[in-house]
Amino acid sequence: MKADYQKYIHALLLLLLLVFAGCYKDQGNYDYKKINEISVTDAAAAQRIFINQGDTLRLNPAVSQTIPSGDLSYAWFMYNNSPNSSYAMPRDTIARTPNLVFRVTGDLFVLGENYRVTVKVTDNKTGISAVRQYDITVANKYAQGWMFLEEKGTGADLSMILPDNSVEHNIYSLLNPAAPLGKPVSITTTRFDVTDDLSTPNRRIYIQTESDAIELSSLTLTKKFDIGYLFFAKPRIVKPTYIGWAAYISGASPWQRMGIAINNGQVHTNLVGGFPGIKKWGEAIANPAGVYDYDIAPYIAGGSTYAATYPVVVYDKKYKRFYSVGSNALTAFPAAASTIFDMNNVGMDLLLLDSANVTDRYNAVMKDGTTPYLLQFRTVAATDDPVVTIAKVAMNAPGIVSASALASSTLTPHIFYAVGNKLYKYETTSNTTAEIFGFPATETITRMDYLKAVSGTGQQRLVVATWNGSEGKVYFFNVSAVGDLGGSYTHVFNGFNKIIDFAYKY
Amino acid sequence: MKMAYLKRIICTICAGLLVTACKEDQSLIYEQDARIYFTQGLTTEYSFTAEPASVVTDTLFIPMRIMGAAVDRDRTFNIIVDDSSTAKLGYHFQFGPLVIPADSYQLSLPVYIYRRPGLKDSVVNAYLTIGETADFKPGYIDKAFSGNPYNKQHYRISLNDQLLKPSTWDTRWATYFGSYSRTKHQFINQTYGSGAWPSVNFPQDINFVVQTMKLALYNYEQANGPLIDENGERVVFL
Repeated sequence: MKADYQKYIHALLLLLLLVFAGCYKDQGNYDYKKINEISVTDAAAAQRIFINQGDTLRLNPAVSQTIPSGDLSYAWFMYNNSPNSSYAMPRDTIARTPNLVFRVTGDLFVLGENYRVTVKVTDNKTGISAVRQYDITVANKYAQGWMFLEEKGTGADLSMILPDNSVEHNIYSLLNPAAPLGKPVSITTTRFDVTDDLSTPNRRIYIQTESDAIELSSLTLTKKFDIGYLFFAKPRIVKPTYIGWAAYISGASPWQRMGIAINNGQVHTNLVGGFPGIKKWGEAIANPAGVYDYDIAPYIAGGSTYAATYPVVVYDKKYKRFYSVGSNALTAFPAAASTIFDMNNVGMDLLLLDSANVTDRYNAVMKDGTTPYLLQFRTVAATDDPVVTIAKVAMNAPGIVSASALASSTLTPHIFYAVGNKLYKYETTSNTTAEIFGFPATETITRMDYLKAVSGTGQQRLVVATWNGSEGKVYFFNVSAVGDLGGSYTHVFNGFNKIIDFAYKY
Repeated sequence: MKMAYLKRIICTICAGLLVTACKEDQSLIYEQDARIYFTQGLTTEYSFTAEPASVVTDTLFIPMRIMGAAVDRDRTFNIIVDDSSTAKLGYHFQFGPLVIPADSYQLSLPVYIYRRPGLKDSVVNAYLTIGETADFKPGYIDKAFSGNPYNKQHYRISLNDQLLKPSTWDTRWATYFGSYSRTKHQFINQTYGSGAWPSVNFPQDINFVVQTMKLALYNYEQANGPLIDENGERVVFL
């Protein structure tokens, strides 16, 4: 018994000895030597560096050493550091030189993404390193600006005028060498994101040609989808004139309302919202008579509020009347909506349907034989005020029935139109017209558009495209707050092909 | 007494050492028996009414997955047709080979279904359960509550050749298609290409079904005149 007791005492003492030995103070007396300390500095690293694809990234960091050594090694590596990139993104080493000279290409640097580039300088003698990091964003040269759809040979191409007034030609063929465009018809853009779940929510760009319609990536301007993919069922006859999105204003920003595609004169709709599933354009919808032989003009009028009585209005060239567009049918206007003229029986040919200078009010320039008419209507009505027709005026506007281009001001009561090489301004309030500019006699105006506020400056602008038989030109006119063009243009851009249509890319 | 006390101290210290002892972490690899299950236990309802009379057979596919690693030989599994089934194996339906090919983790099992005269006036069901073979045991059950008997070990195939008013007609489709008639139902099935449209439930997908039907009816009427249903009424969509 006693022996057992002692055995346990010994075991416990041994354990205690081990525990106390663990607390033994280290009396180490080592020999410290100074080593070479490296630091890497670069003023350029202080802020994010924006660089375009195709440009060369040049970084020249300064290396300082406490005990200068000639035996240094360098490594430049980078990884994707975008907010939504994963932690497991690969790291690529792109150089082993003191300074970086590296061409930014799409295989390593994706457009719009953020990257962190790190330089690591190592003293090979000690193995000690220092690093400096740079934040890089691959900027989009084509992020914003006017996009011009041009006829080029038997196909089409795109040019852009960028916000700094520099011009880039042949953009589409440069970025999409394998997917040439057919004969161009129109180009449409949205200035708001569309959540159709076909791809990441983003602004949409559609190009319509005589035999196809494509969606372009708003980030890379590369072709994403053709008409067979944009529609649930590819239309039997492919002849698109318009694909775009009606919007309403929420707060100060436009929001997606309804997608409208006009193909072979027929209306197709697309409904997006917070619900799941891929949204594409559906089948053609019938007119109020339940038939499909109508022919819609490539214009849409919309309402600015979500509760707008008539969110989308279109014009039928065949039956010469307006329709309100629902998801699954075109509907007629109620009888009470029409007083000054009959929305359901206009009986004239449409030349232009565009926003007027009052919110929710639209200008429809018509011709009845050789007589031009301005019809004005609104898209918001109320139960106790159901009338949408506002005005019907025989226009005192010489030559407008044969105008080659028209644009309605959304700020002042004016409609600009072009006959041959002459530019005219029609005033809706006084029913008068003035010739405001004459282009060289060899040029004819092919297209024009009015922009209420140029991005960044808020300037009102009229953009006019001309064609002289061999070269297209674009003129910018600044428009004053009362609608004056100031006698001449502010900018002219040369070297275009024949411009068929243009739109601003936001 | 003292003895027991010391013993306890020493045991506690030793236990403490044992508990904190380090051991290399083993990677989590499924090392149990090979098993198989339906990727999604559910009901497939098939109606031959969407097909012209000339179609007397069709094929359904049931997705299946295995548990455990793939092996380099074909392995067989078993599906038991429950006694309560009204569909007869070999008469109403027949399985493709019950074999998981070598080096595969999954399979779309073909089930051949036959249009038999009895389907005109009755709905037959096949209740399927995973059975056991030397190669595979039944796989896991994802939902063990009675509300969904068709968990990953169970599957139901329902066959018919008669038009049954879809349960979603009144709640979802009456707004677009109006009152129900068998002729109208048949027309929609044939245009859509199957009887699966009643379960379409996202707004733009519903719009596409509605737009497609309206255009199809318009084209039908252009070619043949109005479509009259079994009650003598003209088929119209709202």
